[in-house]
Amino acid sequence: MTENQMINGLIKGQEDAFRQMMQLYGNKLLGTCYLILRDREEAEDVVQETFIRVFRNIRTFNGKSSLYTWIYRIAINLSRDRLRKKTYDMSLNEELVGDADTLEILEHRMDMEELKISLAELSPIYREVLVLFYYQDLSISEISDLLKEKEGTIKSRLSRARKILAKEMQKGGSEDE
Amino acid sequence: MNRDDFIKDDIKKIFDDEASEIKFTDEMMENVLDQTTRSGKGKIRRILNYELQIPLIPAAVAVAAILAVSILPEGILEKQYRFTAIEMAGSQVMVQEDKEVTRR
Repeated sequence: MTENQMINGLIKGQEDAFRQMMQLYGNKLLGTCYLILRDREEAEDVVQETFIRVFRNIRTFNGKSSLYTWIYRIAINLSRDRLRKKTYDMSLNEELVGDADTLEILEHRMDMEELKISLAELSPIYREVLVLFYYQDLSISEISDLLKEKEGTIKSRLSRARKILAKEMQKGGSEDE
Repeated sequence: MNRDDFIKDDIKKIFDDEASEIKFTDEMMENVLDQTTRSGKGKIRRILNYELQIPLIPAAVAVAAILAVSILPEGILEKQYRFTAIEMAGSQVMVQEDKEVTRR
């Protein structure tokens, strides 16, 4: 079944089309939501709600973006709503920007556990772009389209996220010495 | 920005490991289907979207025939001849009267 056939099936409310869509996007979408929300149950709820919204709103899909992007946008917006409800700080964090030298030194000091902790503690707004860039393998332009943000904003968030991680790793490394 | 930046592989590995802990199960899929295609609204939508395949040419001919019957004046397609016989010099001449085509 091609994407167009699947969309037509979705519009007609065909169960086969819905099954195929969920088989195609379910796992990756759930993984993405889980990485952003860091809560298994919330991620499962968001993904199911996403598919229900796809069913209800498929007629509003205008084909300007791919179905994949459209579905991901719904999921990301729902994830953001959940994060807001959990009163996460979604504001841009201007602090913790390291310099280039720091990054070079840190390249040789990478510790997976520290990185894991730093990633877990990262502000959701930065974690979101890291997940889309590294886990989803989306390009800057695709992320920009998905989040409806300028490419420059995405690049800047990615750069900041990496620097924040580097700084956190540096802190961890210093404490060990 | 490319992905060959520092910690690229580590971040990807951490994300892949974390995400591999969670899968979209059949139970979740059935739950979604129960609330969408199998729900009352879903069934109504399927009925409303049922595709009727009507052959175009026979349908167009049928519509044209219906229009013709309803629009054209009654009796226009029937041939009605009225003749009057006139005696002329011992012969009979048949004269056809004009036919009024408008509806009376």
